[in-house]
Amino acid sequence: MNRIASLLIVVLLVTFVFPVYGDEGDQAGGINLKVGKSFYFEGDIQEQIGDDKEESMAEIMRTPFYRTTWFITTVSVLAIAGAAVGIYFATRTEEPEGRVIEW
Amino acid sequence: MRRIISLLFIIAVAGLLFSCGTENTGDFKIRLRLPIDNGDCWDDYGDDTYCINPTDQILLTIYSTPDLRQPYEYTDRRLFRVRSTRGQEEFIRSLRSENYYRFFVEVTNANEKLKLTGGIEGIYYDDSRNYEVNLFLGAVGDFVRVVKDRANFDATSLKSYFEFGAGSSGSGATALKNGNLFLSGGYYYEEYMNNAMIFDMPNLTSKEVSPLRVPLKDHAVALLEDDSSTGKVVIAFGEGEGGFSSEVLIYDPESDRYQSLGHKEPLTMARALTIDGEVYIVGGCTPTAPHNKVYKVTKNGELTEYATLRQGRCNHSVADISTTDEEGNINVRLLVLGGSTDAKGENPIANNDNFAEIVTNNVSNPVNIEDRNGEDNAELLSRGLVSSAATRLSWDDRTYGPEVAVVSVGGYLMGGEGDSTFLLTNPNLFIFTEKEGDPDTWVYDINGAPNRCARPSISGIAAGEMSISQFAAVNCGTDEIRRDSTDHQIIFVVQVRKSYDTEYERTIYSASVRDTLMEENRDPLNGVIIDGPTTTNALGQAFVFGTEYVYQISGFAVPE
Repeated sequence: MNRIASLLIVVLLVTFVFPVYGDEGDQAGGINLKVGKSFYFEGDIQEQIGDDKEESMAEIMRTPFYRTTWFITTVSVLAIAGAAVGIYFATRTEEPEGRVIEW
Repeated sequence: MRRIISLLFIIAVAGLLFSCGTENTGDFKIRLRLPIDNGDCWDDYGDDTYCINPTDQILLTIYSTPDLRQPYEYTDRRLFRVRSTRGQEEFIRSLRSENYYRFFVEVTNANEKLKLTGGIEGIYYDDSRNYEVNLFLGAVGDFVRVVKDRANFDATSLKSYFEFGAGSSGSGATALKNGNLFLSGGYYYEEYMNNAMIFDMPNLTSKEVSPLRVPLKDHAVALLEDDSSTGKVVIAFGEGEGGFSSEVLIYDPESDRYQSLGHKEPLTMARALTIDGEVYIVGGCTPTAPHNKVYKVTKNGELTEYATLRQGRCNHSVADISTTDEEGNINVRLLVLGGSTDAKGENPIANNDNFAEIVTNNVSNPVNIEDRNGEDNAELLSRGLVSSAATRLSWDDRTYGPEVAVVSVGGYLMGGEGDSTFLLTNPNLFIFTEKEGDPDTWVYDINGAPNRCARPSISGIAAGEMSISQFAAVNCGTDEIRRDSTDHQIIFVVQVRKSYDTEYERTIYSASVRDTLMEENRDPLNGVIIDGPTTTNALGQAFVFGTEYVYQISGFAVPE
C-alpha cells in the first residue's frame, strides 16, 4: 500500500510541480521578450544588434503550446511514470498485506 | 505568487506522504513456527517431517470475543493449499477492532492426516496498531520442544530459569487465560528456588517476573479464572528452607504482584485444580501428619474451607469428575485417589476403606474401588498408590457408556509381604469409571505400562470430535523413586480407547502409550526431564516443563 501510494504521489509531484516551474520559466521568458522588445529596439539603435535575434524571439512567440519544452517534458514524464506504474502492477508478485498468515 | 503556490503544493504532498506512512495500521501477521528438525524446511538437506510441504493444507480457524468474560465465538475459517514450503496468504479481509482473538491452525498432509496443530489466544486487536504474532505448531499427539526458529534452535528454544541438568523438579505451572504459561519454584539439588517466570506464547519468549516471597518446592499451583484477561495464579503451601509454608498466595500477572489470602497449617504436597474457574486445594502433609482439609479459592479471591476428607493425605492424585446439568450448572466433584500419610511418601494409604473418596457439595464420601470382576486384582486397596498422576478424560460420544473416565499413571506402591515390604514403581495404567447404576462404586481397567514413572505429572490434550480415543500428556520422569535421579527421563502420551465388548456386553477401556518420533521418548538434544509439571491451555495443548526447555504436546482439535 505504501509503495503504491508513494509511486502515485511521485507521479503527481512530477505532473504538477515541475510543469508549474516550467510554465513559470517560459512565461518569464515572455516577459523578458516584452522587455526585450523595447530593449531590442533601444539596443538595435545603440549597439546595432542583428536581425537574427528579432527573428528568434518572434519564432518563440509563435510556437504552439504542444511544441513547447515544458509541455513535451510533462507528457514524457507522465508517459514514463505511467509505464512504470503499468510495469509495476503487471510484474509484481502477489504479496498480500493486511491480515496474513506466513509460513 | 506561483512560487508560493508551488511551495504550498510541495508541503501538501509532503503531508500526504507523511500521512500515508502513519495511516497504514491494522496489519496482522501470524507467523507459523515449526518444531526442530535437521536444517531448514526449504533447503534440500533438511528433514521435512515437521515442515509445511507442498500438497499439505493449512486450516486456520478464527474465534473472537469482545470481552474475555464471555466465551470465544467462531468467527471464520480459511483453508490454504500449500504450494511451497514458504508462503503467505491473506486470511481475512478485516478484524474487528477492540476484540480478543483466538487462532487455531491445523496442518494436514496429502493424505489428509493431521500432523501439526497449534494455537494462540487472548490477542487483543486494535486497528490503530500493527501486529506480528508467532504461532508454534506442535506434533499432534507427540512432544516437541517449543522453539521460535528451528534453524537457530539453540538460541531460540523457549527456556525456563532452570539451568542445564537441573530439571524442573518440584516446580509448579499453569496456563493462564490468555494462553501464556506460568512457572514457579522448584529445587536445584539442595537449593530451593524462588524464581517465577511467564512464557509469552505469541512472542515465544520467557521473562522472569517477581520472585516468590520465599523459595518453594512441591507447592500447589492452579489458575483462578477471574474477570481479568490473564486470570490469577493460586500458589499454596510447599516446602522451603524454613520448613513448610502455611501461606496461600495469589499472583496477578498483570500487575506482577503477589497477594496473601491467609495462612493455614504448614503443608506440602497438597494438590490443586481448577473447576469452573475456582481453585480447590486438596490435602497435604504437615511435618508430622497428613492433612484432611479441602480449601476453595473463589473467583473474588476468598479463601474458604470447602470440605473435610475422610482420610488426611499427601502425595495423592486428584481428578475433576464434575458433572453438568441440562441448564449448564456444574456440580463440582473431585475424585481423590491414594497418597501417603507422610510428606516423603514412604507410608502409603493402604487401609482398604479410605483408598479413594469423592468430594462434592462440601462433603467427602467414601467410594468403593474394584476391578471389572468386582475384585481388586491390582491390590490397590491393600498396597496403595503414591505419587501417581491422574486426570479426567471426557468422551462426547455416549453411545458406549459413561462420558467421563479418570486415567491414572505411574506412582509407586507397597511391595512384598509382612516385614519385608518395599516400595515398588507401579507397572500399570489404570482407567477408573463410575459403575453403571452404582454411583458409590468406581471400577478400574488395567493395562500394562511400557514405561514406569515414579513421580509423573499428567494433563489431558484435546481429541477430535466424536473420537473413540482420548489422550493425555505424561511427564514421566524416571522410574526411580528417589527424586535426585536423572536417568531415563521421558515424556509420552497415553491413549485411552473406549469400545464395546459384544461378548461380555459391556464397555471396556484400554490404555496404551502412543508411539513417538522421539527416540526412546527423550529429547535427543537434552534428555534430562526430572519430575516437572505439566499443564494444558484452553486450546487443548499440553506443555511439559523439562530441563531448561518447554515441550508442547499438541491436541487434535479445539476442545468444546
